[in-house]
This record gives sequence, C-alpha cells and structure tokens, in this order.
Amino acid sequence: MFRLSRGFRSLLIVPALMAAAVLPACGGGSGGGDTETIRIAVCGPMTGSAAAFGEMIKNAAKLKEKEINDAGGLSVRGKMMMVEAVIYDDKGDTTEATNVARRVASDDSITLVIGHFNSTCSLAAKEEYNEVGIVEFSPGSTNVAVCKNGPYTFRNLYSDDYQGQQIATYFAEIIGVKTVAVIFDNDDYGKGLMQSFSAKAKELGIDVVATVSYLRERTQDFKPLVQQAKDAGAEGIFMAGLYNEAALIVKAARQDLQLTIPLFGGDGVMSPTFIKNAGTSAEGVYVATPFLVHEESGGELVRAFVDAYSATYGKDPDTWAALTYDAMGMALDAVSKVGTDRSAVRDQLASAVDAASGYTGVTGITFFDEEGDCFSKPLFVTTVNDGVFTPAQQLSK
Amino acid sequence: MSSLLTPEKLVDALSLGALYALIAVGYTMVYGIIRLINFAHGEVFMLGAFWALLIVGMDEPTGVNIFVALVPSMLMCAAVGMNVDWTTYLPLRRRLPRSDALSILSLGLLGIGAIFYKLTGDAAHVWYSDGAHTAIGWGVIGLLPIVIFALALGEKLEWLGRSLGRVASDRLSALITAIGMSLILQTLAQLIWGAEPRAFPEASLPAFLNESVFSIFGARVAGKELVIWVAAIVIMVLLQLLVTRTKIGTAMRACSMDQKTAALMGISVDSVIAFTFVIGSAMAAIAGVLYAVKVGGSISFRMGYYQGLIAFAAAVLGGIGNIKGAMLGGVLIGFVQGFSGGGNFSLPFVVMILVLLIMPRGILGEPQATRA
Amino acid sequence: MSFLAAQLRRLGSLDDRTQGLIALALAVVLPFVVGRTFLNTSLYIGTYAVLALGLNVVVGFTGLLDLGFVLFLATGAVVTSFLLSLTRTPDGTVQWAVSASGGIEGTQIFGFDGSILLIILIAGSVCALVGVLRGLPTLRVRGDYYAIVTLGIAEIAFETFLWDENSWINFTQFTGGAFGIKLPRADRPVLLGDPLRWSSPTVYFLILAGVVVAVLATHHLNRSRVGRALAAIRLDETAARACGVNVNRHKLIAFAVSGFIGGIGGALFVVWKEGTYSVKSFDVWQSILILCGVVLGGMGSIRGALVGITVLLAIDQALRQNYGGVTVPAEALNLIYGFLLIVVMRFRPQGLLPPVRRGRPLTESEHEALRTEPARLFRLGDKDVS
Repeated sequence: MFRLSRGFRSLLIVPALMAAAVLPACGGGSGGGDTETIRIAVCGPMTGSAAAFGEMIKNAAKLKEKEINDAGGLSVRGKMMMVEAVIYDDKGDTTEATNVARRVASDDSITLVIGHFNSTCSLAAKEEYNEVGIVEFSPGSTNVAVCKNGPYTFRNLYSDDYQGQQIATYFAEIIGVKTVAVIFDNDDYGKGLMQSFSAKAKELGIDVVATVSYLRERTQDFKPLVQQAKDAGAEGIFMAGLYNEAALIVKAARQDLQLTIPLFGGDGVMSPTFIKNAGTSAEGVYVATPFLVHEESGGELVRAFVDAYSATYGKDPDTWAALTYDAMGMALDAVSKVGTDRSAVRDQLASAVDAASGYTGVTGITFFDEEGDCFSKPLFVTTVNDGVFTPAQQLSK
Repeated sequence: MSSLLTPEKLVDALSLGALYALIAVGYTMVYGIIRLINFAHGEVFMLGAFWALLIVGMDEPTGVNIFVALVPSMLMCAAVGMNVDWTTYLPLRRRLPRSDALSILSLGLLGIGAIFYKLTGDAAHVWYSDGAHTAIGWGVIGLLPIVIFALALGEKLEWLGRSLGRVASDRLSALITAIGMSLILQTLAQLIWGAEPRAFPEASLPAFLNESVFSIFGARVAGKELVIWVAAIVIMVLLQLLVTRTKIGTAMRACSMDQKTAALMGISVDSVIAFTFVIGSAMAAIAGVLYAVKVGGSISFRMGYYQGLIAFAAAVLGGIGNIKGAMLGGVLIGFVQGFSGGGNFSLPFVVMILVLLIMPRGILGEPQATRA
Repeated sequence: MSFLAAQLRRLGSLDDRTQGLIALALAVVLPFVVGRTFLNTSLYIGTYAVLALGLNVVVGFTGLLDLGFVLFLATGAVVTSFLLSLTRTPDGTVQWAVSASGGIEGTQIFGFDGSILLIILIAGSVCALVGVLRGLPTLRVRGDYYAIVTLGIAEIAFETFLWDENSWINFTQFTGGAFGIKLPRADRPVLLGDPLRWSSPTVYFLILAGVVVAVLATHHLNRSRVGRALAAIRLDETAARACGVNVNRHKLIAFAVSGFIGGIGGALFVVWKEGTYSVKSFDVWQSILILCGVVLGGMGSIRGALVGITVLLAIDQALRQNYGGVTVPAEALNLIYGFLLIVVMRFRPQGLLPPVRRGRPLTESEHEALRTEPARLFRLGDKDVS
C-alpha cells in the first residue's frame, strides 16, 4: 500500500466524487435509449417537513405504474410499453427543486414530469422545464402564478385565488357570519389563500377581525393563536394551512377554549389523517376539496382506486394521492396517443380544452384553459360527520 | 388585539415553561459533564412521544392509558440515550478497542432493530413495491458504513486509521457527531413510522385531561395543564435530590468538575456519563409525551427539531451546565413564548441574546472553556 | 502500478501554488467535457464552496463556532435579487418586482452589461456590514455561547424576513417572503453580452472566479499579520490579549471578511438559481450543512473546506442520481449522511485534509497542557501558528 501525500488527495477526491455524480448521467442517457419503457419523473417532497405529502404522491404514482405494468403495459400507438415512475426528492425546498429540475430536464429518457408539490418548488423548477421543453404537471401546487407564462406547466386542480374566493362566499352565503378570523401558514400556500380570502370577504361585507400567521413545524402550540382569534370576537375561523396544523387548531378551539364557532379548512386539510388526529373535535368542521372520495360523490372509478390503494398501502388515499393518480393517468393517456416525444405530449395535453376532450379520472374531468390551469373542478365543500368527510350544502352556481 | 398580559397566557406560559425546562435539563446535564451540545436530545424527545404512541396504539387504539405508556416510553428512551452515548460519544472520549466494539455493536443493533421492525412490521408500511430496487438501494446503505468500519478497523487504509492522535478540533468533532446522530435518529423514525404527523388516540387520554379543573383569574386550567405542572415540579425536586443527596449524584458533580480526578477517586466516569444520558433521556421522554398531549398531537419525525433548539436556547439562557439554570431558563423561555401569543419562534432567541449580552455566561452559568 | 504511484506522489509533493494551478486548469476544462447534470452539480458545489470558505474564516482561523452562517447566504441572495429587480418605471418612480407575478413596465436600473459584478460587490459589502453588526454584540460571548447566539440571530433574521403587512415592518416587500423575488426571464443579468443562463459557460466561470477570489483572499488573510493574530485568538483568547493582540478589532475583521465572502456566495446562489429562491430555504439546516463541510474537510484548511463541501454535496447529488432505474430511497439519504459524519469524525476528527502546520504535531500531554495552562503557550513557541 503506498501512502498518498496529503496534497494529492485533494486533487484525487474531488474528481473521483464528481465522476460518481456524472457517470450515471451518461449511463442514463444511453440506457434511456431503449424504447421499451416510458419513464416519468415524479417529483415531490419525499423528505423534509412536507414528507407526508411526498409519501402519498409516491404511493399513488407507484400504484398507477403497477396497475399498468400488471396489465401488460401501455399500448402506445399499437406497441406495448412498460411504465416506470422515477421518484425524485425535492425536499420541499427550492434549492433541491432546481437541482432536480435540471437533472430531469437533462435526462432524455424521461418523457414528462409529475410534480412538484409545493408551489415554491413548482415555480423554481418551472423555469428549467419551460426552457428545455418538458411537461411539468403538478398535482398539488395551487398558487396563482404556477401556470402563468409557462406553456409546459399544467395542473389538475384549481388555484388558491379561486379557492379563497369560494370559501369567502361560502362563509357569507351559507354559514352566514359577520366576523371571521384567519389562521394561516406563513408560506406560499397559506398566504395566497389568506389574501384571496380576505379580499373577497371584504367585498362580501365580512369583517376579517384577525389574521394570525404561524410557521409550519416551528409553531406547534396553537392555543394562543386560537385565543387571539377568540379575543378578536371572531364568529368563524378559516384555517389556511395543512392538515396537521388544522388538527391542532381544531383541538385547541374545541377542547382547550371550548369554542363552538364554525371552523373551515382549505383543501390542505383534506386528509384522513386530519380526522384521525383531531378525533371527535373534527366533527362539524368544513373542509374544501377539489373532489371527495365518498360513496355519494364518486362512481366506480373512485371505489376501485380507494380499494386498490388501501389494499396496497394499508391506508386510505387522500386528495393528493388521487390527484397524482389522475395526473399519471392523464399523462399516460397522452403518451399512449402520441408517443414519448416531449413536445408532442405537451400539445396532446394542451388539446384537452373542454369536457369532451378532457380526461375523466378519479377526481372528475380534467381539462385546461390556455395557460394550463384547470378550472374544470369546482370547489366541493365537505363536513366531518361521524368521523368521515361527507358532502355539505354546496354553493349554488 | 389582545392585551399583553392575560390569565390565559399565564396558564399557557407555565405549561410551556415546565416542558421546556424538562428538555433543557437534559441538554444541560450532558453539557455539564462532557462539555458537549447533545444535538440528538431533541430526537430523544421525539422518540419518547413515539414509544408511548406505539403502546397506546398507532393505528388502532389498544385502550392502554397514556400514563401507563409513560413508563415503558421512559425506559426505551433511557436505552436510546445510553445507546447514543455508547455509539457516538464514547468512542470519541476513549480510544480503546473496547469502545470501538461497543460502538459497532450499538450501531449494528440500531440498524438490525430497524430492519427487523420493518420485516416483521405490518403491511401498512410498504415503502417500495419494486423489490429489486429496494434491495439494491438498501444494500448500498447497509454496506457503506460496514465497509468503512471494516477498513478502518483493519487499518488497511492508513489515513482512515488513528495515527494522528488528539487534535484541537475534538470538541467540534463531537458536535458534528451529535448532529450526525440527530440526523440518523430522525431518519430512522421517518423510515419506520412514516412522515405523517400523528396524535394520541382519544381512547388513551383520560377524560379529566381536557376538563376544567379550576381557574386562575377566570382562565380555565385543564387537567393536562395541571398534570404538566405537577409532573415538572415533582421531577425537578427529585432530580435536585438525586444530584445533591445521593452517591451517584455526588459522582455526577465530581465528574462535571474534574473527570481525571474523579476517575482517580474510583468513580467509573463512563458509567456516570451513561447514567446522565439515561436520566436526561427519561426526562425528555416525559416531556415528549406531555408535550404531545398538550398541543394535541404533532408527533412526527420532525417534532424534536425546533423544540429541541428552543430548549437548548433555554439551557444556554440559564447558563449551560447548571441544572437550576436550565429550569429557570426553560420557565423563562416558556413565559416569553406564552406571553408573545404563540406562533413566535424568534422571540425566545431575542430574549436569550439580550440576556447573554448582559450576562455572557447565562443567568447562573459558570466559567467555561474559552475555545470552540 | 509503482510508476503511477511514484507519479502521484510527485504530484502530491508539489507546492500549494502548483497544485492550485493544476486544480484550476482541471476546473477550467471541466465544463467543456461534462454533461448538463454534472455542470449543474459543479455550480451548486462552487456556490457552497464560496460559502464554506467564508465560514472557514470564523470557524477555522478564528476558532469561533458559527451556527448561523445562513444569515449571509440569505442576505446576499436577497440583496442581489432586490437590486436586479429594481426598475425605473416610465412615470419616473422606482419600483421592484416582488412576488411571483414579477414583470414591471420600465427599464431595469441594473440592466447594463456587467451589472452583476457590481451587484456581487454590493451584496458582499452589505454582508460584511451585517457581519460586523452581528459581531459587535457577540464580542463578549465565547465558545458554545457564541454558537447559540449566532444560531439565534440567524433564526431571528429568518422570521424577520417573513414579516408581512401584518407586522410592524413589511419585510416581505423587500425579501419576497416565501416566494422570493422572481425575475422575469427577460430581466436576467447580462455579462459580456451573454444573458446569465445557468448552462452557459459565463455562469460557470463567474462562479469559478468567485471560488478563486475566495481562496486567494482567505489564503492571504491566513498568511498575513491579521491571520497570525486570528490564530492566536483561536489558540487562547486571553493569552492573545496578553500578548498585545487587539482581540476585538481582529475578531471584527474576521467577521467582516467572512461576511463579505458569504455575501458573494449568496449573490452567486442567486446567479446559479436564476433568481428563484425562497426565504423558507434559509433555515438552520443550511448553516449546519456548510459547517459540516468545513469540519469534514478540516477546520482552518482552505483545501479542506473545498474538499469537505465537495464531498458532502457530491455524495448527496450522486446518491440522488438515477442509476439505470435504481435509486437509493430518498428518505435513506439522510441516514447515509449521518453515518458519514459520525464515521469521519470518529476516525478523522481533524477532518479529511487538516491544515498543514509547521513543526511536529502537539503530543497529547502538550495539548492537555495548552488547555489547562495557557501560559505554556509561550514555552511551546508558535509552532501551531502557521
């Protein structure tokens, strides 16, 4: 064994490690040349603070992959091809989202991207996808700006703008309260929702008496926040955040402060875990959602998806799993018609402009406007009844 | 806006303060003896809540009372705390084959335990449906540390060996090790239990926890707040008695003053340090369970990350290394957070910095090493 | 084999300058021979290498444990994006683009060719000022107290940057909050007639220049009178004071230099990311990541900082690759990271490439003596001060 001098090692280690990083990129390029597999990148927060969503997204994508491959593959213009969902982790962080986007866009074997989940990540990655020309199909980013100025960016759910306005209208017309407090997550999602809600509420004559922000993960004790809403004299609380925090808010309101005022959560609250964590306190809470996994609202498609998902993973899917499942379905549908060419897939997706040309999946019919935004799914309001989400009174159109 | 001082805030501040004090004491005890910021302490806090959750039922409630689950949770956390010491910190202190063996054994147990849990675990946690990919991925993970350990032990690679002896960055390397341990525990928790935040099922919580017990100036005090206060006071008194009145407590104090002399006096320093980890971790377990009860859930692999930081700030505020200081710091930080109306993560740090400006060693701190 | 070994050994015995030039030559050739993924990874590593070199000044040279270095990354990035988005509207007012909507009518104030160089300097200077301001109150606190204070300040800044219109001061109008300030594609800075797109060689060489400047600056700082004073402070603050070193002044110099380099790193971060950042990214973990790089490489060693951060980020990115359909489970990456830190610290506590110091290494007893009786520093001479 010879002894390398210290100075040399600095020269040795760097290229050796970098080689490890570059080799598979070359290999991936050539390996992807084989046309037997359709490779779809699924990008989401597999680790970090939003990892629970990443888990759902990954599971749903893998479920779709398994279903198609078990059936012998996908028929692409008469030829059977296998499907592979390649999972990429963006940590829910824009830095890693940039890395992932550049890696995926440079990998010729990948046909399109399902993701990202967080709006900030979708926005950070959007630049790259649109510059290179690969479809970014988000099943979770609801910020208004996500689809703007991005011909290659699509999503299969509504934007925060629409959601906030609809919820404000619901407060005014159906719940009928005069003062509302907003407790919002101080990130892209919660803040966007809070702003559109507050603007619309003012218009409708509702007084937004308190806007209380929190930071996900850092804030875990919600009693003082709900206390602020209570002190401000709110007759209703709008929770613009994710399900874990909503469960804590609901518990703090119902148990600690014994408030009986109506509570309303945005679609980030729509998760079986919300009910599981909040327990009996969740009863009567309104939750908005793009669709509902429920006997009354869905047909056979929904039932089949829920059964398959819970058989594979041992728990019920949530909204995000369903949206990812549909995004995968719609994307593969497009691929089966036009093949794996990136821009052809984009054109095929963009050609879904009305109910007839749209894709019918678990979450309803998906079609896009000229910017790739999806307005085909109206906001659906549910309420928790006996531990399950059930349809509530809906807004009249 | 509500006024600054309300009785409701007082109740909240007291509970938060009690909980932070419980965690901060764990930081400070370890620091007092081995001058190490045990970054993994926040993770032990998180594990405490998870062990209790396992017993009261993660998916289906088993009907076990949360207070019954507290004891096994404490024992498990004590074991984890000792494991953390043996795995990571002991080999840094003592360069003996024995500590190497112990370290590898502990690391191995940690890994085998995780794999065993996964293999025997319920079908609810299927990570990857594609077997081959998983096998290769895990092979890489499993082999990496084993190969490095084997190479180093065989001293095949000289530069991986231990030829250079002690160096000035010893304390920092211990800190980095602690950060590494914290990452490992966090990731293991995520791999085993998933990323979803959870809550204790209602069946495991006695009814009185959420009922009003009495009121202070009109503010409602729920049973759980009272439990937290009483638990914190009892534990603190017991700890104080342990440290001042018992033989092991005297040994702990001796070790924190001068380890070499303590060893000469016949004290088994390593055992005393392990004992410190055990006590601190058991207290963190109690804090973890009570914290989850208080906030109503939020039991996830990230639970200990920021709460650990705040508790650490509390320990520093009180003067790190000083047990009474940690209690005081915890209560103070709890008051700051409680009275600022929650949701505020930076204010505890503002207060800590202001105090350190006036008292650079914290409120009750002792002189400490000057080098980083 | 033995021939190769001999050649390698010869390479290793070259002096710093030759080695540096060889490394530089490799780095210059690099972008022309590798693929896009790898190019992006190099940019990522380069940006963080600048940050690591900045942190090394405080942690490695001065011996103060800084757990809040992300402050400079955040400030540098925010200042850069803010300046780039400054626009003079047709009606004569000055506005800046905030939020994802972006795009204001008018002419960019910093739209001229080469403006990015000026902006990088401004970002560096602002961060140097921030470093001094942060340093002033922390002069008295030492050791672990300094660590927690810096961590606290970074956390406070993190939350302050997210203050919105409901707080005393609306900071999100300057920082963009969770969205950051996003530049419209047309407003990308131009350098030498080339709009800065990450895949263009200009960006690569801009970041490489940043690394080279940081290396040279910290190298000369370490060799200078100030560097020796910092080393004295690192070894024993009290003894240094007794020897007539103006401890406070030199600490402030170190903070300023460290902040300046950190600010450059923050500006390069924006260049690398093409302006898409989120304030939410700038949390404790970033500080810890950079610190791990410095400690892993060997505190106080410039090539150590470079190698340390390269090792950390390259392993991370390599494991995130897709090896012909086989991926390492993403959740398990942190596990590998943790093991790596523990194992390296266990067997190489001085880091992969510790600084080369003149004279023999201190023996254990001498080291103990240094700790317990600083007065012996004088008898040992300045062996450890390189």
